[in-house]
Amino acid sequence: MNSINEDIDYFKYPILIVDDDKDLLYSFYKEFKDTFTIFTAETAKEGLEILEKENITLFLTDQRMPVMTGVDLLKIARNKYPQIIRMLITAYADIDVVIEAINEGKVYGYISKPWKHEEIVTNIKNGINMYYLIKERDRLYQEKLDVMKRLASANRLNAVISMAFGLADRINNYLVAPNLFLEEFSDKFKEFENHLTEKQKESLKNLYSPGASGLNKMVNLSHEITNMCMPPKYNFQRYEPQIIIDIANEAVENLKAEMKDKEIKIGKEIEGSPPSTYFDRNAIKKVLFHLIQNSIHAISEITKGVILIKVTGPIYRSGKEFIRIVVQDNGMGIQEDNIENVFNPFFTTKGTSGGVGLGLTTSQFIITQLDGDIEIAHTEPDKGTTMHIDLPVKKEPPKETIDYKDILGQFPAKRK
Amino acid sequence: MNKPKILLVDDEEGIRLAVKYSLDDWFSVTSVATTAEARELLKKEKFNLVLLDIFITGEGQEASIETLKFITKEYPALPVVILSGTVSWMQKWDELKQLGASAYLSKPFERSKIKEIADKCISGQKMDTIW
Repeated sequence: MNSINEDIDYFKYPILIVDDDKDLLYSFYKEFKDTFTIFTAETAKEGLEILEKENITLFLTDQRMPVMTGVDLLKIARNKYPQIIRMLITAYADIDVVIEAINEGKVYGYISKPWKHEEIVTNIKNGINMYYLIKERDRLYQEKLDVMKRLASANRLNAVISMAFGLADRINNYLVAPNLFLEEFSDKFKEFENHLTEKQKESLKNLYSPGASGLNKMVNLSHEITNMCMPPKYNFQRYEPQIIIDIANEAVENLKAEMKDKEIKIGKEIEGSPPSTYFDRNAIKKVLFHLIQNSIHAISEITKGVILIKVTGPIYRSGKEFIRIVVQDNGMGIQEDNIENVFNPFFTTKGTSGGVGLGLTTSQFIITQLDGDIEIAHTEPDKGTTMHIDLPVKKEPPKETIDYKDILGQFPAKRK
Repeated sequence: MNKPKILLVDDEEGIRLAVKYSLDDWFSVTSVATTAEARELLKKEKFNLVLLDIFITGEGQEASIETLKFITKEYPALPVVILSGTVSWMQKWDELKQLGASAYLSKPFERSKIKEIADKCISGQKMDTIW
C-alpha cells in the first residue's frame, strides 16, 4: 500500500491522536491541521469518548501514558471499533511494545518519535486509504449477499408457488366425486331412513359427520393454498405511514376473538420520519394480521403480554430506501431449531387450533411480491420476538413481480 | 319428455362418474376424457350443454381453449360451462367469456350449484360471476 489515492478528500476522514503530552498534541495539530481533520485527547479515557462520539477513521496513540497504556487502548478499540485504523506512536525503541501492538492491537503501522513530516502524512493517508477500501469491500460484499439472498428467496418462492398451484388443482379435482357422493348420501339417507335399524342409522350418522368435516377441511386447505399464492389484484396507492397504524388497528380488531378476555397491551407508534410509499392496503393488512396473530399466540402463556407495532424509517440498504414495520412481542420467542422453518409452508407450533401453518409463508409471498423483505430481527426464548418488514419507498406504483402465465405454463400436471 | 343432454369433458374418471350419476335425475350426461373425443362426438350427436375442464391432462390448457373456440364457431347456440380446479383461471374469466363461455364453475362444486348453472345456461342465460 504505497500508492496514495489522491481522489480521496482526506479532510472527510477525521483522525484522532491520543498522547499525554499536551505540547506534542499541539504541535501535531499545528503541523497537520491543513492536511487532516484532527481530534486530540490527553488520556485513553478521553480518546475512547471521542471514538464513541465522532466518526473517526484512524487513530494514533502514544504508548507511555498514565492509567492506560497505548497498547491497552488499542486492544479495546480493536474490539469495540474494529473498522477504525489503529497506529502506535512510540519514542522508545521498545520492540516488545511494537510486537504486542501488532499482535494484539492489530495496528496498521507505527510511528517513531520524533516524527518526519512526510512519513506521517504518507502513513496516515495510507491508513485512510485502507479504511476506505475495507469499507468499500464490505459494502460491495453486503450488496452481493443481498442480491444472492433475494435471488435464492425468489427461486424458492417460484418453486413453492408452482407446487402449490399444482397441489391445489389436484386436491380440487379429487374432491369433486367425494363431495357429490356425500351430498347424495345425505339425501338418500333421509329417503331410506325408515328402512334402517336404529343401530344402522346411528353408525351411518356417526361416519357421515367426520367424513363431511374431513372433506370440508380439504376444501378450506385448498382455498388457503390458492389464496396464499394468488392475492387479489393489487391496488397500489401512495400511503402515509399513519395508514399502517390504522391498518394494524383493523387487523387487531379482526383478532379480538383470539385475544378472548386476555389482558394484552398493544402499543402503536411512528418513530423517526418514515416517508410515504406505494403499497396495497389489503396485502399489508393480511401480513399484519398474521404477524399480530403469531404474537398473540406467543404471549398466550404469560400474564402481561405486550405487542408493539412500530413504523420507522427511512432505512437505507444497498442504496435503496425503505420504511420498516416492526412487530414486537414479549412472548415465548422462537426456539432455535424452529427459526429456519417458520417461513416454510405447513410449519406451525400452534397445534391443531392454529390453522395449517401458511400465515408466515403467505406474508413472505406478499412482501417479496412488493419487493420488500420480511425477517425475524430478534428472538429469544421467554423474552419475545421482533419481526421486521421492510417496504421499499417507491415514487410510483410498482409493477406486479410474479408472472402467473409463466407459472401456469410450468405445470404439465400428470394426474394419473 | 327427454332429459337435456350434457357432454362432460374431463380427464378425471371420478369426476366423470360422479357428475353423471349425481345429475342423472335431470340430465343425460355423456362423458369423454379428451377434447379430441369431444369434437368427434359433437359431430355425431346433438347436445344441450358442454361442461369443459380447462386443463385436460396430457393436452394442456391450449386444447381446452381451442375446443371452446371450436364450439363457439361451429355450434354457436351450444352453451359451454368451464370447469376448473385452479383458482388462477378466475383471473382469465373475462378472456374466457370473450371466447364464448357461458359460465365458470370452480371445483369442487355442489350438486345444486351445477344443476342451477346447467338449467340457466341451457335456457340461454350467460353468467357474469364465477361460481
